[in-house]
Amino acid sequence: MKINFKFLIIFLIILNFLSNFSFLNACAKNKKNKIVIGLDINVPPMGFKSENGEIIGFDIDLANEIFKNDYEKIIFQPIDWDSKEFELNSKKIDVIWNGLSETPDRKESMLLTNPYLKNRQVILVRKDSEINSLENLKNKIICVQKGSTGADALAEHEISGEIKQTVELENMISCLNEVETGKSDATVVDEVVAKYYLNKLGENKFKILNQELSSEFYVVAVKKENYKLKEFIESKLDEIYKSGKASEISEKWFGQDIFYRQNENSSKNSSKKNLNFLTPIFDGLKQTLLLFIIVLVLSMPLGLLLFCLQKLKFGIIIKYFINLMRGTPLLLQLLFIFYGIPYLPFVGEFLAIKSRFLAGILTFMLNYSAYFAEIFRGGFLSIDKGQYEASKLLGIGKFKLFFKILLPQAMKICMPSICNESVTLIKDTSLIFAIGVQELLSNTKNIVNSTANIMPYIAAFGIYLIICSIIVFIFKKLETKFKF
Amino acid sequence: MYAIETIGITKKFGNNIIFENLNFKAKEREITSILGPSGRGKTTLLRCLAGLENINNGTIKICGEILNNKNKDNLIKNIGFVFQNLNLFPNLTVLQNLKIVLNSSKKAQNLINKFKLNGKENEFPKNLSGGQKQRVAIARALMLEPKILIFDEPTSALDQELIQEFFKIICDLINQNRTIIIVTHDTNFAKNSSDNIFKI
Repeated sequence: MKINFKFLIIFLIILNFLSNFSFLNACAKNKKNKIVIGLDINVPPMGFKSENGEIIGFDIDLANEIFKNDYEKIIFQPIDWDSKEFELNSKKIDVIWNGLSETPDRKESMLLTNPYLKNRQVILVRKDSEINSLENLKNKIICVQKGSTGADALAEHEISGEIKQTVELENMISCLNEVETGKSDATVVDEVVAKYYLNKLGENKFKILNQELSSEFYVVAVKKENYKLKEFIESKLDEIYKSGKASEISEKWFGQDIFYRQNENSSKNSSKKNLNFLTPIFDGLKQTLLLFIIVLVLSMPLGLLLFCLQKLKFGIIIKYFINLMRGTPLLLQLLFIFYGIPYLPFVGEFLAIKSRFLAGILTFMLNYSAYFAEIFRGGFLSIDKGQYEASKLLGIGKFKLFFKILLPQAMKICMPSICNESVTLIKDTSLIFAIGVQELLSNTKNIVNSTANIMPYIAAFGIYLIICSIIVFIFKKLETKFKF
Repeated sequence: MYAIETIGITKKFGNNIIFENLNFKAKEREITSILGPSGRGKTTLLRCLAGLENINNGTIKICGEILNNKNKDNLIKNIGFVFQNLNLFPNLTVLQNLKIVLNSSKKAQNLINKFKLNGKENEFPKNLSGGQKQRVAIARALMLEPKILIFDEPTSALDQELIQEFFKIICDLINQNRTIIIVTHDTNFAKNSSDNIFKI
């Protein structure tokens, strides 16, 4: 009966799992309810309000094209640009699509698609101007939009030291007006904006210099773990690029096709589409392995040291320490060291460790050195007493006795236990997610959550198994090194 | 002149008296056998002589000097001890077993030649036969050139042929003016080889 009961439970668990899985899959295939796109509506031509109050723009057309077949409702939600990350993370919006340039900070805080536009900060001058290169800007008056990327690009460029004057104005139209009327000689502007105005106002008034001040990519942002949506957008971008729809939209707004696709990237994407989840898994794997190797390399000698210190007068303290480390959960220790220490009165401020990874290493090191100390104790205990007596009678010094006679014998005895502990360590590394370090298991979990796909779990199984097999293999090899 | 002399020594483990008021003498340059059945404290007596155990009562003299805690380390240098289970260092080769005692290749090589261990220098103890292991243990004890050599049950693991060979070795040691003390329960070997027999 007992066995039947167990089988019943396992059966129910499998059933439950399968039903969830197929349900999620079915959801993925159906047309979804709605998608909310966050944008700043003051960025023509990417997204802005038309004279009759409609939100229009290049990005709007593009987003409509991407989502129209898969979502019943596409909502364009104007947001406060400064709190865009918060809007995304609190799931108030699904996507940010609004001439968002790719920066290292944004890569950290959001998940970015590959670029769909390459934007440059270019110089716009009057059609009849004698300015033909950046060199010619010396001693000229340049007009920029206040707080724009163009203004920053100019300030950071070496030419900024040699120009006569920089005029900062509220908006782009005023800048163009300045140049047109000859008050300023040139203006710095986003290439996409310049092309839009040129298309709109006619190319006979202005020209764009070939040289750029700086360049950047425009990307679409989704919530950090939402790989599924990111891949959806990227594949759709590829699709409308190939179908010619993208160039159609581009022609409409800029008078020419400036849509950007990384050729290699898109071909790579289509062939590797199903394996894309491996990237975050491998990113996590790097963290896991780094943690494992550092902890193993540091905690073994520390464990040996702790074992030796137990023999000294204050050895009792070490024994208490080992009891503390072995007698409490590693997870609790991690939380205490990273989140708890800063709250300690008086000393908390000085002892707090800012880096999550470092706090993780420290905790793992302390915990594992306690285990290693006990493993070494076992190893040394099982060495025959006769070895100590023979050394004593032969006048062999303590140092020589320890390093030349006892340690090699103890290491041979300890090898299987150390191997065991290393295998445990590689699995324990996943606990570090508790203090916010993204490692193999937490990344896997995130992908599964966002893609409703079981493959990442299976990949994680495989990776852990492979690492453990490698560890066991290495230790087997090491054991054969002990020829005595 | 006695190499080793005990005057009324007593050894207890807790309340268990191993021997009481024991007077043992070993003359210089002679072979003295300690004979007796198991459990009478033969090995314990040897361990007391070598300073591995403290006695509860009485006096031990080594080369005429009374053994105490101050001179213990110095006096023990006169004694070479070959354990019953030999206690070779298993992680060291034959040559390393000798050289860890005294870093002298010349001396080690001489002893290896003398004890017919040529070709075995780089072998670990586990790859040696019982007789070879014993010869390594004796060679190791001789690295410090002790005046007195103590053997604990040296013949127990040896066949007749090897016992003969061992006898030759100790005769050789006597010829080098060393004193030999042997604990054994092999009455024949004791009678045939020893100058004196001490029954315990």
